Amino acid sequence: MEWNSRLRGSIAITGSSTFGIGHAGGLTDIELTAQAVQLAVRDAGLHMQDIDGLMTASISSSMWVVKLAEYLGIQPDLLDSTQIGGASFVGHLLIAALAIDAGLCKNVVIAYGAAPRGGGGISATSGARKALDPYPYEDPYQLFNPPSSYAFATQRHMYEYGTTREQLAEVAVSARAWASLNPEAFNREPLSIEDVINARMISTPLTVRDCCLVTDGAAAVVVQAADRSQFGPHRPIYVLGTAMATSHRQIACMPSLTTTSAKASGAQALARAGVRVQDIDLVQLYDAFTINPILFLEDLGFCKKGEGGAFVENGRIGPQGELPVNTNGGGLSCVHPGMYSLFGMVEAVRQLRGDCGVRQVPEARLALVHGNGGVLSAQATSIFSIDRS
Amino acid sequence: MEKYHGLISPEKIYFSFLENGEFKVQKCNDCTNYIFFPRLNCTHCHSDNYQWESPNRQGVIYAFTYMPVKDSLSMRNAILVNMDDGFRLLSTLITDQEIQIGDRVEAFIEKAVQGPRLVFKQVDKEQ
Repeated sequence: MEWNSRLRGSIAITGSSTFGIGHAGGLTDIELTAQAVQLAVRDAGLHMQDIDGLMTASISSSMWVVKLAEYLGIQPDLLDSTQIGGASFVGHLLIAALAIDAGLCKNVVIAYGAAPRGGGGISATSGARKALDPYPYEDPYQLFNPPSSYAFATQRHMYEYGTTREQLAEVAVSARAWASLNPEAFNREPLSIEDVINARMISTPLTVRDCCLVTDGAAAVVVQAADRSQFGPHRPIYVLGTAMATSHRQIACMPSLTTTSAKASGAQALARAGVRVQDIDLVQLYDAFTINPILFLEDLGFCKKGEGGAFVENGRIGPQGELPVNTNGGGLSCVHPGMYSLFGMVEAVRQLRGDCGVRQVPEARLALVHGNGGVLSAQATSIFSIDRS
Repeated sequence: MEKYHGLISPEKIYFSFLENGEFKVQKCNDCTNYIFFPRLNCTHCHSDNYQWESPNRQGVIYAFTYMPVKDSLSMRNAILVNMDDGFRLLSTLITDQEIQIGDRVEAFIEKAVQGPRLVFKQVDKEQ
């Protein structure tokens, strides 16, 4: 559907933060998240009382956005918890653009944090979630989800296109190479293709090194109307276009395991932004598992369907490669508290601001950020730019 | 079973068939497609005009995964099956042989303490 073209570039990210990546010393989910909000608001040169829109999503708390507002001591005019899994925060940009355009609010914070390592967060609640959110046609088979669902997709990709174990491992190796350049990344030890393949099996063909980390971590961004975004301390990062899509919730209902609805969200976000995939300087993809970047590079149009495995070979998406992907180390090596896409958004902002030190992508002007939710269930794509037009 | 505004929970109907040893799936009377998992409306044409039928119990393995022993769970597999009648479902294969994509499999109902569940066995390749 055609969107109102005045929404293109109508909002900008003026503040961003991460906090507590790795092991956050026992701070709880809400403490971590609140601290990330404080840091992002300060980064934008605003005060907490300026925040009149609050967006967040939780895996376990049913009124998380209200709980966060209470914790922060603010009473925003816009509260939203669009929950499409790990893709939520990219999706929130779409809601934020609409709300700001409609005049509902001026300064929106999008935030997320969880402490599965230190604070007794999401891992402790996974049993309870199963009881609260039953899947009667899946539960009797005791899948190890989400890995098992991604294992199915990985196996189909290998079967249909000849994608190899080595190519999948390349994704993890490239992520680790980026992480080694990022002081904030949780896992920076050297990693080889053999290390990935020979690691502990989780759900065939995926080993533990094909799977994202489980770390603490929080992030937040401040979103403002583009014409109000010039007054902060940092260069505003314009959001040119955002789109979301879904194809299923449970893996058995995914029409084809080798094509995701990133195809729809990506094409729509690029069209809304008015840019071509060839113009993109850097990419942040939700790499919950090594198959994800391969699927998304194909579905977003960086290569043809079936060629994702060959595309990532020889470090092409790593620090010396031609397409910088997940320059913070991604969910595989930097941070993954349960949902990731907000961390990809913050990394894109930092790259476009030129704040990334040794891992800085030279002359980065245009970034594609892609979020994934559930078991390849929901997708959201956004285009970030240093130029409004 | 309880009726509400003319509706009986398709989920409850499905599992009550399983309890009685029957594998029944909705078939849309308007577009003739099978619907799985059970729902109030056809996912193909959105009609609510369906009947419960006994589908062909055979299909082929679309994908599978083995999960190693973890905590209280023993080694197990999960499979996605493309049924001959055009729908896909998730299950497990009861076998001591290796699983391969494309294997022909057949559904049967396994009685367990937690309730009956649909599982699959390989169809003898000689037949």
